[in-house]
Formats: sequence, C-alpha cells, structure tokens
Amino acid sequence: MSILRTDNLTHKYSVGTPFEVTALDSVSLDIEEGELVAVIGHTGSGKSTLIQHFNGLLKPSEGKVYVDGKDIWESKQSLREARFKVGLCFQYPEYQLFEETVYKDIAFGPRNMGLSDDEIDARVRRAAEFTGVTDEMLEKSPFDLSGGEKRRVAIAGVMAMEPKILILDEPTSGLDPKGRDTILELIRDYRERTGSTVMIVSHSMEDVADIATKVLVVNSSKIMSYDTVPNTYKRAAELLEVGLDVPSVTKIFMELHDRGLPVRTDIYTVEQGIEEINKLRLEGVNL
Amino acid sequence: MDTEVILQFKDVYFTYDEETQGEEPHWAVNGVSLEIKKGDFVAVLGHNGSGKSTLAKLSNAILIPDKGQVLVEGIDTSDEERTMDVRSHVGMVFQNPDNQIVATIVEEDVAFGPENLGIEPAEIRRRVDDALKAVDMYDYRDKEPHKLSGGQKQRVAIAGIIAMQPDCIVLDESTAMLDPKGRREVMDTIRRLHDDLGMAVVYITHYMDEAALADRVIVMEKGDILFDGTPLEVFQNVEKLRSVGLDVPQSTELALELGLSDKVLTPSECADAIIRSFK
Repeated sequence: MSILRTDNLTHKYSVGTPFEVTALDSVSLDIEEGELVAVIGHTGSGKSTLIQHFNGLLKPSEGKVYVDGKDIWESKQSLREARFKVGLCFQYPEYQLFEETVYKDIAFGPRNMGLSDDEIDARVRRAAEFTGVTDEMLEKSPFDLSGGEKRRVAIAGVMAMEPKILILDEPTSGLDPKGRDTILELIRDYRERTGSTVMIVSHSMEDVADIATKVLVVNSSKIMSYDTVPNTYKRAAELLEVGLDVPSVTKIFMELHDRGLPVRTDIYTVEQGIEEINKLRLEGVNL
Repeated sequence: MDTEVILQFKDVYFTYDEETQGEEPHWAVNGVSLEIKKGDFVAVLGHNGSGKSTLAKLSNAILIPDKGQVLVEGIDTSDEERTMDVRSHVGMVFQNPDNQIVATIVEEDVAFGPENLGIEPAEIRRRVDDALKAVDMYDYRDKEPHKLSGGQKQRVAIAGIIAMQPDCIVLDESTAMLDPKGRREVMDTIRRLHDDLGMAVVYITHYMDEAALADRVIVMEKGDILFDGTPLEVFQNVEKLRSVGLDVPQSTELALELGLSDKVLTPSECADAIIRSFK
C-alpha cells in the first residue's frame, strides 16, 4: 500500500509579492511502503521543497499530502503524528548536534516523543548499533568526534525516533569515497532490518544507484519520472539535458549505442558494463 | 634554486598533537618533499585524514612545519615577517562557500585581498574588474553575495584570490559542497585560469573525475605521498587506490577490466577503445 502520497501538491513561495515563484507545480505521487527511493534533481528543481512537505515543515499552497493514508493537515493531531512517522535528516546534520554527550543527542528525539526512559535507552542503543556508534563514543562530547562520526551520530538521532519513513537530504555530501560507502551501507542495512521506507536526496545518481529500488527525478517543479533504476537510466540523455549527472559508465554505453554497437543503454555499474561487453564478445559481434 | 619552482616542500613534518611527552607524535604530514612549478596543474587526492588539507594549509603559512621547510618563491613560510608576502604568492580557496565571503557586495569582497596588500585604489579597481571577468561573474559585481548560488560564491572567492595576482592558487575541496552544475562551473573556471593566465593550480579533491583533468596527480596516504605522476600513471593502480579508500574513474576501470587499454581517462576514450576492439 502507499505510505506517502501527494495529490496535486502545489507550493508557492512569497505569494502576493513580485517575487512569487512556484516551487512545486501540481505534483501527484505515490510511494509504496518499503521502497528505497533516490530523489534526484539539481539545485532549484523543487526536490527540497517536496521533501519538506512530507513531515509538514511546509504547508501546501494547494493540494494534499497523505502519510500512511492520513491527510496530515486535517488536524493538529494528524500533523503531530506525521512529524513522528516521517524522520527528516537535513544536509550537513553534524552542524545540528548540540548536547553534552552523544548519548543525550541521540536521545533528544525519542525524549520529545514522550517515551519511557527504558524505551529511550533501548532506542538510543539500537540506533547507535545501526550507525556503528560505539559505547565509548556515546559518552563523548559530539564536538570531540571526527566529521564522519558526527554525521553518523546525527543520522542515529533521526533513526532513534524509529520513523516509518526516513528521509535523508544529501547524506554523503562532502565525504570521501570510503565515508560515502559507509553511510550508504548503513542506510541499506537499516532499511533491510526495519522494513522502513527510505528516501535519499542526492545530486549524484552514481552514488545512490547501487542501493535504490526506485528513482524519483524532480525537474522544473514537476516529477520528471518515478521508476526503477534501470528504467531511469534508459532516459540518460534526457537527464543530461536537464543538467543532471549520470554515471560515466552510462555515458560510455550511450556513446557505444550511438556509434552502432548493439549494447543496452541502461547500464550503470562497471560490473554490468563488463558483463554486457563480454556478452557481445561471445556473440562474436563485429562492426 | 630553480627559478621555475613556486612552491617547495623540503622533508616537511607537521603534527596537531600539542604535548607528546617524549613519545613520537601522530604526524599529519610525515616527511613530504615536493615541488610545484610555474604552470603546474596538480590534483591532490586522499581520503579524509590522509593529510591532504594539512598539506594545503602548509603551503601559505596558515600552518608552519614542525620539521623541515616550506619555501614559497624562496621565502621560508616560518619567517613571520614575510607571511603577507607568502600569501600574496599562494592564494587559497576553501571548501565552504559561506565561510569565506566577508563583504556585502560582490566587488567589495573581491577588493578585500588587494586592499590588504596596500595596493593603489585605481589599480584595485582594475584588478577587481579583471578578476570578476576571469571567473565570469562581472555581471554580478554589484549583487549581494548571499543571493548567489554555491558555485557562483566559490567563483567570487576565486576572484578574490586572483585579484591578489598570486603565482599559485590552492583549492581545498572547493567543489565538495556544490551540486554538479556548480562543480562544473568551478572546474571550468580553474582550467581557464590555468590555461589562459598560466597560474599554477593545486587542486585538492576526492572526485576522481576532477583529478583526471589535472596534468599531475599526487595521492596522499598517512601523511605521505603514495603516488605522484600523470593521471594515467596513477590510475593504473586500481587495487592499491581502493585499499586506501579511493576510487578510480569508471572509464579507466572498465577499460582495464576489459583488458583494452591503459590510456583511458574519460568516457569518450573508453568508448573509442571498446569500438576499436570490435573492429
């Protein structure tokens, strides 16, 4: 069933002024429970505006947002529920750490939910385990951690609220390849073990292609496509046209295809590329 | 000394440890020697904590070596009286576009550096205009910096450096916080400054495709230089680079895995190699 739905969602900024802009234009979208959705779009496409509607940080100018089948703006109660069901982790979340210890920082969200001390403790420890935060780190000040560790603590803070939908805005930006892989792996494990729905906002499809089940492409305030990863890559030419990056491997196979080699164009990892070329070699293809 | 050398590291050591009580400290930079010459375009790669940012900060006297020497145009960076001279030769652009803009108008921000060097107002005017044109931000000269995109802000920061007319510009992960469009804008700008003005560029990054555009790639690991060569030479070492937490460009990897060519860096070069193999 659909866990997240928007119905003709429109959002305008600075309404009634000469600077009025439509950031989202009549967006209707259905996201199934348990998906791992990569949200792709360049700066100004409307992707940040969209995700801020999912837990009621922004109110639609027109249209509706449903979380778990419920219109989130129906009542104060439904809005509060949506805020706990949808956990949003902002870009560079390490700048939002503020508590004396890592433990207290991770516990902040669950405490606000009014849970018992035992339940809070259990959740902090679960979230710490998911994110590789050690017992020793829990007692430290967040400001004594490295950049990568801080990032994991900040993500743990959102995971500890055990939201049904976890949304992360650019969780890997500014990290080196190893740091990036660590974060993506922990997000994938989290989804597999909890069955939660996860959305990752990114500029770079190359990073998220490996772990996503669906790709949502936002462009010019509208949904350009919402499809599986291979189906999205089949439209690589269109993605490039609207200023999005596609993996280098995809570019190589687009060019091979254009130059007459009978290859698939929905290739996005080096492994798939090797397999595809070896297949042609076996078939004895000649140009 | 070779007059073409702008920046010279001579067996440089640096640690952030304050008190080591006789124990060997953790060296963030561990005995590095290297030379950057006029007109070089060097990319420095390495994972977080490999020492690459420390290396950058040592190059214009933000940090001073604990052992060894850093020479900028022959000036020892540890000579405190000449710190301003050092910085007029080697300019630095940092990672966060929001942390390095000081003025409320773009052109005033660009003028900040040359003003501090005590340059004549008429000359400052000329330099600011030239610098803004060089980074393609002249049309934005009277705008407020906070209204610009990340890529535009970084180009303004770069203009502020160019206006001081350094011989070398060091960029410390200056594209890490930008989107693909912003990254492309900054890369194109840097490439142009290098090609047109002959400025030496030291480009610290962990994007392999950006490093592939440089003439020379230095890979840092544990405070030391692991590889130093052309991108083609360095990216042959797929396994070794992976083992230190780095990638190689997908194009290079695919060509190597298919046993095609060791001279591939870009998607077009890789497609060429594959097409040839089917003929």
